[in-house]
Amino acid sequence: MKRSACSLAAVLLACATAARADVEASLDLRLVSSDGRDGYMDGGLGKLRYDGDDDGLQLGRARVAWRGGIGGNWHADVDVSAWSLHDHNGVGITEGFLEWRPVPASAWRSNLKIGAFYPPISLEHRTSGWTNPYTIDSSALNTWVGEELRTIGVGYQLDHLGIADGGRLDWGVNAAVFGWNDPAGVIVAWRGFSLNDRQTPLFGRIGTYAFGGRTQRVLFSEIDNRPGYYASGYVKSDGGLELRALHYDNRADPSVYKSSISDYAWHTRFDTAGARWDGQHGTALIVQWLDGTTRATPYEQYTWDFSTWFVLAAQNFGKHRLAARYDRFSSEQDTEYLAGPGGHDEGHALTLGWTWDVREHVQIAAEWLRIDSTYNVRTMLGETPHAIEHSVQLALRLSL
Amino acid sequence: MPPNLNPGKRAGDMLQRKMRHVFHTLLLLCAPAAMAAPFEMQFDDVNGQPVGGVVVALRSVDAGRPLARPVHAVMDQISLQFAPHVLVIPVGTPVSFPNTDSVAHQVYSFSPAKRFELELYRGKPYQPVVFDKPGIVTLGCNIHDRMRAYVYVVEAQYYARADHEGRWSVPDVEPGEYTLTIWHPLSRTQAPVLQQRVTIKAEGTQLTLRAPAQMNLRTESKLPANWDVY
Repeated sequence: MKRSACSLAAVLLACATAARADVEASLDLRLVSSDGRDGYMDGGLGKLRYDGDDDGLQLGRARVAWRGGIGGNWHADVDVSAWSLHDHNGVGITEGFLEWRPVPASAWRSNLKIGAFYPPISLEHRTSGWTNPYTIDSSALNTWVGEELRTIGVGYQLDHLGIADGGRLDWGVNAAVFGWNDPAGVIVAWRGFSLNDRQTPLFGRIGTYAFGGRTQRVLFSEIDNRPGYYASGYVKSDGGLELRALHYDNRADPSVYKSSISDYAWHTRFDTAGARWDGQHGTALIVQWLDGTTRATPYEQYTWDFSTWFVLAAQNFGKHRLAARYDRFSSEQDTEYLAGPGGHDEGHALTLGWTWDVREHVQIAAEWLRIDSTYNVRTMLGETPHAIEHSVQLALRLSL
Repeated sequence: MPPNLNPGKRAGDMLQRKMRHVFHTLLLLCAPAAMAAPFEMQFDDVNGQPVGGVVVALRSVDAGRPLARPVHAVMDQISLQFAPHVLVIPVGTPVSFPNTDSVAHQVYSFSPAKRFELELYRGKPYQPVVFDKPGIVTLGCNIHDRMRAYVYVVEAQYYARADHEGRWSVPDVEPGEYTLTIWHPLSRTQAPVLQQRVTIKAEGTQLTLRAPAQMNLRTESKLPANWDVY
């Protein structure tokens, strides 16, 4: 699988550099102060990317991306990032795809993507590299999207660009068929939700609670040879309001086990919807909700229900932007089939963010984050179930 | 004041304004002084508040009078935005679309008044596009969906974009009967917000015009054009 990822990257890179490609490069350096429990990257059940041992200077992200026309209406896109000097994945591809994007001859526009890319869920991630311009760490909902979901397959979008045609609405529908997303669900089940900004690279790994000595989980793998799908739609008004909804089902067969990654296929289904409003004076309001279920192994007791929502408000003041977000999340083992209590993770979080566009190519961002969560499985690590974790981060972001 | 309506600050507008100044100066030199009268106008909304950035055209009711001749106009692309945001040109005007950005753009329009497409490019590889029909043309970039601009292609003797206080003045209008048309770039319809007959007298004319009804305007957020790529 790694080999195919590398070949895909090589092809995309070759395409992108051969054409008149646009190159983006950025570096995000952090000063971190945290009182978090042992973090999920180190096999703990803390909710923060940086735990209490990570205070000081950290690499937030180093990123290079290429995008370019490769002839006709085809474009190539590849996004490569390193997340930490200590990360198991070192350097990885977060997205890489070919896109057919003809210029619209009428208000109808088609768009086809082949490769690996994000499903259109997040209303927070508005900027290139699937970055969030409001806060350093993303909501629990979209953190999970970045950790466990990637469309590795084919996606088609049909837009009706009604506003450019003198109307009041743009709208569109989008559907995709994908593979290699069978482990999706394992993290939200075993670890629960988190709020962070690390995206799992393609065919990459993520740390999780070390049951049975497995310290890392492989996230993008085809286990049962059954493709999954999602279908979504959006509406945008010329007054700055956008609504989105999506239904996802990876159609995994939970009874199939893959020994090479020591995991079952996780059958994950969820619905998600959201609304975003941009005012003409730099105000933004975002609300998103997600509710789903995941199941692995032939036994029904390994079924989890998960649910999360957040609301975010942001205001621009010239080159400064302030944002506040409140998250709620829960992930609970379905007790219907259990003799005793199952895993139950529940919590809420408050995030305050500030970004300052110092000048072109330089941005400073700061964030205060407090997560209050209760997860009964923490007792197996000798910890108390209830944890209140804080982090304060200051980021210097340089870009080409 | 609505956002993105800063006519005086855009490079293309400046160029257009300079060229029109030259054109007007030439006209003044050629025409007898008695033939030219100053015209000044101010456009307000239904409540009497000035409305900036409206597009204005004066067309003689005398169908035999020649229309304004084509000029050479520029629609630049700077910092992922079209510049100017609104361009007003007479029919037949060739418009060049240089890309000053370091990233590639793919400019298109599917408006009935002008359908065209400029394949992905940087710099200035294309011949100017001639806008040969009157109407409102919405420009987009197929790579950056937030980039949007409007070209008003007018059939008129005099035309301009009013300043941010809704004022427009022309020193040298030929006296006579005209149809004055005003469009608002943020209007939700392509129809003018005002159209009426005006008489330009030999001694000059000053008018304060008021929108007949509440204008139904879009709100355009000031989000950076490279946002919303997901």
